[in-house]
Amino acid sequence: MRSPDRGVDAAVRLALREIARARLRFGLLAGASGLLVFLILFQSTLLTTLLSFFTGAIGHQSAAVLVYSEDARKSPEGSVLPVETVDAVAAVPGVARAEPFGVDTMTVRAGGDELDAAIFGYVLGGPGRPTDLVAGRLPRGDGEGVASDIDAGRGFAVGDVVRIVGPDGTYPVRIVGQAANARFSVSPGVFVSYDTFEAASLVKNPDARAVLPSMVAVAVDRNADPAAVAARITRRVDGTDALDRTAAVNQLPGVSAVRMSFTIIQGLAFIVVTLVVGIFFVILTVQKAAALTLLRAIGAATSTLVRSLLVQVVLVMIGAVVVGTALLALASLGSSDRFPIAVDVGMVVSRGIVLIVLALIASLASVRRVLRIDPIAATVPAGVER
Amino acid sequence: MRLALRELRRRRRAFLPTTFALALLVVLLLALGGLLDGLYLDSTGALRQQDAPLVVYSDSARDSVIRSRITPETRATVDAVPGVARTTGFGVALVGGHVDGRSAIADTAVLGYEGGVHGVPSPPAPGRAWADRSLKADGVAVGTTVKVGPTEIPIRVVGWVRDTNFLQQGALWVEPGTWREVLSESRPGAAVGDDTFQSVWVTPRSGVDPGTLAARIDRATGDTSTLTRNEAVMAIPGITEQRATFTQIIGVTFLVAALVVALFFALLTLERTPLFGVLKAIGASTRQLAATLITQAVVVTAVAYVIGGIVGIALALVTPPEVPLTLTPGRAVSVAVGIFVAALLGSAVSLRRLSRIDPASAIGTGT
Amino acid sequence: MPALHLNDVRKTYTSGDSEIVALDHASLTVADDEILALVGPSGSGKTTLLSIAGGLLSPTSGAVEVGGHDITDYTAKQLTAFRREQVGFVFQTINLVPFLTARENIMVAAELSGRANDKATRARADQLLDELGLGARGDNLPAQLSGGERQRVAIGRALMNEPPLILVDEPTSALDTKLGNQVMELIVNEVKRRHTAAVIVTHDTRMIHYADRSVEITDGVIAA
Repeated sequence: MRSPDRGVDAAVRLALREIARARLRFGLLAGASGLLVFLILFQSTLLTTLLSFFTGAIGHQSAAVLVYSEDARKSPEGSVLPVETVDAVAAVPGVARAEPFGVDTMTVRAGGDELDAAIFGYVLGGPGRPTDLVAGRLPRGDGEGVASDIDAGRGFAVGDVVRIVGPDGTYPVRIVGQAANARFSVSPGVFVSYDTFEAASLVKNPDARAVLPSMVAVAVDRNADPAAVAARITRRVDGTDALDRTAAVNQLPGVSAVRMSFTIIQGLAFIVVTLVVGIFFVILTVQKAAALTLLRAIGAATSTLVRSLLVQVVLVMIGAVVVGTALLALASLGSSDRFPIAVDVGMVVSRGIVLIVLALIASLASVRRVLRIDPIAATVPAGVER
Repeated sequence: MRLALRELRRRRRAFLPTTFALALLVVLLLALGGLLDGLYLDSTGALRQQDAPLVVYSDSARDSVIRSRITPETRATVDAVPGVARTTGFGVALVGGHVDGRSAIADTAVLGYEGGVHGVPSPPAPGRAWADRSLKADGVAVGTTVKVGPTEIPIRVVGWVRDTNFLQQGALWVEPGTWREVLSESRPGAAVGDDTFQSVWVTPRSGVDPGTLAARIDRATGDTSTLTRNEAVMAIPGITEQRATFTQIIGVTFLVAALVVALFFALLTLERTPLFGVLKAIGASTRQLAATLITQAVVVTAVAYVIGGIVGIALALVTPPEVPLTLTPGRAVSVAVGIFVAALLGSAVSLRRLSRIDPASAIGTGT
Repeated sequence: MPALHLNDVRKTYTSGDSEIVALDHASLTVADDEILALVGPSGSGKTTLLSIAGGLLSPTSGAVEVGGHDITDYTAKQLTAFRREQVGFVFQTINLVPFLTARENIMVAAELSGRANDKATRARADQLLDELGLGARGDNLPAQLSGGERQRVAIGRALMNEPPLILVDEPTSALDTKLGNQVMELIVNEVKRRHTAAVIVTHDTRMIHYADRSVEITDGVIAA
């Protein structure tokens, strides 16, 4: 008599026909949901960019493990290690290579302006080099540097010479390459040889008694687990606190507060968007209670009506994701060098899927309403309020 | 008016979804604002609380407290500039602090000062400090000795101050000698000579304009950069970018709130079109119906704000101290104003539809 | 085989301590091509009887057979399927789905039964529209149809699946005499053409003569 997929057919057809006849209503719904989706995508994009401004250089350099001093509280600039530590770390099993790594924020003259820049010194050919080279080349000797690509327009382009400023003079560094995600603490990042780093530090602070490495950059053996190696280093070498790259990024001071805020905001936004969409659909379901009652009375199965509703939820959410993405693309037109906004397809797809699933969960309230419809109500005579 | 309120009371369920959705948006806005304010306040307290309106950094430091150096000679020059009433030295050392009984190291900012900070008493004896209340979460109490830096210099807490943190690290206010010791032991590359500070805060004589005085100071020394307190606060790394990011997000959220409200009220109006038709047929003017709509929008928004506010406060109380959520009265007000404007704009969209309802439609047949 | 057979059907509701009897030992048989008029005042239980015959309500006691199927103990799911295939309902109000055209409203019954949206189904729907005098109105939405036209679309929908029994609730209560006669003639013609049975509930005495037989019901009791 009736085959199961024919029932689905009827459900889909009912769903589509209702949307076609109430285009304005569903259009408004998709539009408003699209705005909420845009909110999530926009937030996501901006916060990811902001985070990258704080942490990019650390997350996108080649050392799988970074060794801080024990009391540095995971802050590269608060970390300083005695030179002997480097050899001690190199002796730990799992460590393929360990080299000193210097991190400091210095005043730099570039593009006619004086500004802060984060200077990273690594041993050429060793761990700690920038991983996302997009233009030019890595330094081959002293006095050369790779700079964050966003800051090319501020005097950090390939070929530019930036000068590290100290009280008694300057130290020149020629930019030979550009890297993506190479900013740190919201300042331009410049990767140089470790010797350059030492020389620059002395120019910056002639009073300094010594220039010690901030950290040890570690390359691990192939097949070794960076987190395990890091834990081993911390245990075996006195006064150290080693972290794998991901942990180092996540625990950068000040950044964890921003990250936590990020997570809370995104979480709240997802909850709000989901609930608001769920509420929309409850209102719509209530408004068409009469039609639903009729359909039940003339023999539509509850499952058919529920399926019809879910089809509409999915279609509206897909529409919303499309609208939200379009708005994000529009917003990206307003992006600037100082604050780039770009449409990251991967992020859009992943957020979109999550939203569709959440919307389906939120529509359970509407589904409950559909389940509660008693077909006998179709026989209630006129004059009684629906 | 009375019709509006009576409908709200009798047909509460119809307005519940809109109220609930608006309340959620209020919570979101309060959370966004609260996080922005929290991040800001926790990073800038040490500078915001300075009494003096001007601060002098060395030229080459590019407005960074930590990199700046003001030697005694430079300070003497500043003192001698006409219009300068007095100067106080200031310096920052960001170090980790061990607290007995706690395995995690506390993030602290050891601040060397000579006085002139609002809410912070005059500098204690060497080795003692006024601690910011936020350090309570790290197990610090009055009388606790915090061992700071790699050489574990002991600093004993003698009392509390509040809202004085720097870059989200707990403030320990110490006399200058202690600060210099901490700085040179923890960051040998950043060591500072005796009597040198990183910055000096300048109080002008009465009647002297701070802006003019700032320029005068820089001219006199030739190698300094004098900023107002607000400029110094904004120059703290990351602050402007954080504000820009969050403000954009908040702006977009308000916009979205307005449009969401518009949709909800449009749906509500749609649902009541037959009712409005009947009312018009029995003599209600469009203006009266519009007043009904606006009244309901205001009441719904007020209720939503109260609910959202309560949830927001509950959220703030429940979040762990690591999360920088601070609800300020200013934020509560700005969200209130914003949400009301959004609601009014949103409901205004339905007014057009109201005017187009034809009273003759009331005399139709049912389905 | 009778189209409808109610045997000693009782329907009671409990309200607090008291028991309300909507139908009291009602027995009724309708032959398979008979048109029956069920007459009674408001509150007499006629709507309850119709609802039980149509599988919208289950009796408290007694047996119900429609087109040979005993639906007395059917589950909700079975009743839903039953309403799809074995019964055509024309309600007093809320008769049409507002977002479907006249043609689509008629075809929705077939669709719910899983019958494909194919040419044969469309042809039947169009034929029904013509028979009902709605040939030109197939693409109109209910909001664009008059009360009488909507009534006719509802009749078409009830007939679409060729059920053995049509149940009609107060078809002429909102219509004037001339229109009322038109609708009744239509119902009678269509029902007779298909050799279907029909139970028409009405309190409109002008229309009783259209039926083959009439039965009175008062206070839940069918007059002998």
